[in-house]
Amino acid sequence: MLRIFGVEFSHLGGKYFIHFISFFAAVVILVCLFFFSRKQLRSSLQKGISVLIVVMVLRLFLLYNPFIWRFYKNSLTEKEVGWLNRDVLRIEYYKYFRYFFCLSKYCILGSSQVGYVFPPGLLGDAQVFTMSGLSPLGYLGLKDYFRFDRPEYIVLFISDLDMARFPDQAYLRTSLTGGFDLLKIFPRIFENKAFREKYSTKKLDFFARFIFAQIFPEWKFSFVFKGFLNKLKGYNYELKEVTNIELADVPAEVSLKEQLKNLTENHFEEPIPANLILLEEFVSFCYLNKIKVIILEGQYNPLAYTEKNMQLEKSVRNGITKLLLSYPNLVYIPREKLYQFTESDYLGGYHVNFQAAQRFLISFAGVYSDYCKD
Amino acid sequence: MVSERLKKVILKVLKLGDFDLQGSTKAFQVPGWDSLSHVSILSAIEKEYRIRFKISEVLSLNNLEDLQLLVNKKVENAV
Amino acid sequence: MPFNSFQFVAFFFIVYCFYLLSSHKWQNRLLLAASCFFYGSWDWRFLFLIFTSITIDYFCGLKIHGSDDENVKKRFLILSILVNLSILGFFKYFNFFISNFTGLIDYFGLSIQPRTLNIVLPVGISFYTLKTLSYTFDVYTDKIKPARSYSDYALFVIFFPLLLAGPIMRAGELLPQISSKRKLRLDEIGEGCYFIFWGLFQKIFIADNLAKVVDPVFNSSAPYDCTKIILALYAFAFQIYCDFAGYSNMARGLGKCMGFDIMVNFNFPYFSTNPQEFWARWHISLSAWFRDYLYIPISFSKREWGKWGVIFALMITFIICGVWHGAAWTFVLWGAYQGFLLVIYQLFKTAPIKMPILENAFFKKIWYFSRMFFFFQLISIGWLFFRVKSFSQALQMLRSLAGFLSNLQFDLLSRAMLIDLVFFTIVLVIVEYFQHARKDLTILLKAPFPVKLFVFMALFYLLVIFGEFGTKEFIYSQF
Repeated sequence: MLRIFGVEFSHLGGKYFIHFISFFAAVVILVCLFFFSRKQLRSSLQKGISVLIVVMVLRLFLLYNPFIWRFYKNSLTEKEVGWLNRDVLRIEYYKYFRYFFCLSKYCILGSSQVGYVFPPGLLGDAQVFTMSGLSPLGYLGLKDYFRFDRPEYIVLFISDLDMARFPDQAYLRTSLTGGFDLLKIFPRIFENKAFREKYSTKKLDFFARFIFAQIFPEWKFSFVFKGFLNKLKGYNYELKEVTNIELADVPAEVSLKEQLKNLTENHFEEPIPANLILLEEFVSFCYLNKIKVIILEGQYNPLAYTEKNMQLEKSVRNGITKLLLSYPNLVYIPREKLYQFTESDYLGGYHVNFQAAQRFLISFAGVYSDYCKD
Repeated sequence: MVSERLKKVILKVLKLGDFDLQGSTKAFQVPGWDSLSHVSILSAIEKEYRIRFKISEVLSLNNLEDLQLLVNKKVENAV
Repeated sequence: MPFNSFQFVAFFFIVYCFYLLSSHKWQNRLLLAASCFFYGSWDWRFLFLIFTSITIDYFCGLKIHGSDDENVKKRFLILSILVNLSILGFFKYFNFFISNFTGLIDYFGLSIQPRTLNIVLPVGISFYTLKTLSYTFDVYTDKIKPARSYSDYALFVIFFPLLLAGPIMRAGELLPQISSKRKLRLDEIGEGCYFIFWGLFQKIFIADNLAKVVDPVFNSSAPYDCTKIILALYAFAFQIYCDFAGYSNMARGLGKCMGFDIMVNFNFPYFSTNPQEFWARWHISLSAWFRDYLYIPISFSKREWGKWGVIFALMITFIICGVWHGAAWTFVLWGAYQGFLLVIYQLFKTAPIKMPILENAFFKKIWYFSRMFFFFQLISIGWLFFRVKSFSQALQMLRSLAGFLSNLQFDLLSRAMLIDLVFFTIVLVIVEYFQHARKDLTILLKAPFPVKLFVFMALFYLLVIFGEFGTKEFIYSQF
């Protein structure tokens, strides 16, 4: 087992690693060429090439190799970069590895609540991948990983929690292509009148940031360097937390009430069609790659449900049901067929305890053969 | 041409021993001649020649040549 | 659209492409149209106001010059002043006046229901008003000839790089550049790009990040922690400097790219060791305006009072300067404080401090830096009055500062603030130290290639990584 700077040599591989090797080779070749032909070149061309070389070498060293990402992953904590970026760090590191994604028959994708509904130790031949706040745009960001190691089934747990919020561009950071191939979908999303009216001010910002992130990975990953500054400061203004001091225990009832208040406030009807388009794109991708998709209708703490949520839930269900007509690889299991979580099952607004997860899995196993013929 | 008499007044207010004041010299080129001492210099010139400047005349001055011409004009009119 | 926005980048790119391809006549027309569009993008109604001002002053300029009768000249001068100041007065000071008037009435036991109108302050009005007033004054005193071409004069007033908060250029400097052909040289364009970049760096990297240190302190309420106030004040000193100098640098750079020579507006102000020097280095175009059109006339008319005339003129000028910055008593206080510093300096500057030890070059430098440091403290206290939200907040903060030896506590948050302050200002301090020593703003461009490569790469990466790309407005655009 060869280890280079703590990285297991034999595990390196995959498309991204090949990119890294070629980039590294290209830089070396460019530098050699430059030095050998320095005398023949005009001075302005020399200067231009040296700028290019400096930029490439810096990017190679700071952003495009597995060793530095291992260093970033191990040095930066959630308090310094935020919960979302912590996950991005993790994924960015694993991009250089072969055996990262879905060596199993089942791949369960979702936000942190999915990690509690399908806890480790409960499932055999399944890999659970969660990322805080993961939504359909996030699934698309991860799709390229499925091209190498294809699971037979991808399981999703979707409720209005995932579908009724504006698709956050930040999730594209995980995409191997930076989300470039997804550009064609965005205009379709903004075609929807209600969505456009509500989020038109975000449009230019969204595209400008997108393009900027493609051209300048330094900006895309600026949270890494800001994280180090925060580490130095020991105090993160944006998170309003102190990294060196433990947070005082917050009484459970207070935090639950706060969570429940936030749940309903940020859910709207307008993003649902947009997220359905993104979801359809993902299902279509899976269809083309012969991956079957099982969507379980999601749930969260019954205490949080209001009239608005019931309405939104219906819209989500209708939208996904429509997809069933076009995609034979898609299966949708509504919540009535599954175990319904109760208040006491929940540790907060979204996360269930182990026993509840067990009951859920048993109910899922019970109806499985009705929906999936294999 | 800047007269010796005018030069003496200016140098006295600024407490400068010796400085070459030419017609083309502008105020800020003379050490110590700033907006704060500007008015004292003009006031001293008024006292010396027993004339009175108008504010609009003062604001249109560009260099010492202009100042000398203005002084000459005032002296002529006073007579 | 502020300079640090994607829309402005697109706007300038388009305008510049057409500019390069146009003849002189068409360049001016293009710039006028572009400036109208630029200004109108805030609110098209503001265009009516600015053109009212432009038209009246153009007309007055011609009339003043065209007449030999002193009374006629005076009449048109007064017309111009009245129109411009009433517009400015209404939009900026109406609500302030009303609230103070009712407060006064209240004091006497009466009470009236005031109608404070919902008045939107037209962008840049404080700046262009001063610009047009300087034009009419200069025509009146025969310093310049009035503009013959209406479109040239309009461009002088509405020229977009200077419109928001740009240097208040005199007609004598800018009109000739508009009327005559401009030469575009590649090295000038390069310098222009450098100024734009440096200005953006100052604004996005330094000023907007320091705002995060300053705002929490000033947005909170008493009791205040003395250490945090001090750190926030230092941060604010650099924030307002970089915000404003950044904007001025960008204006200068944009102008240079188009062949215009825009004046320098800041000349390393924090290297000053006394208030007189400071005002010759800070917001040069504004202080020159107040000096030429307010201070000199006032001190001249009071010249019989001798030293008291100077003191009177200084205080009045700087109080008005404070009022110009904003319709609030805290700005008046700030102006009075600046005036006060100048008065004290005037009275004591001739007091000789002869110390033989100062003959030594090393101690001379130490003495210079200590005076600079001491003066910086005085200026920072001035910024307290500038930044506070209310009189009472100023008093509470001063009270906390006064007891500073007893409640100086350096906790984790103060440490974080200090690290932020140092991190975001160290580059500026180093660069400006060298610029100041060589008396050259373009030393970075003249450095040898490896140094240039290193410095510009570093600046660029700092900007991209730590720059604040949310749209934080320029502080001075509120004026």
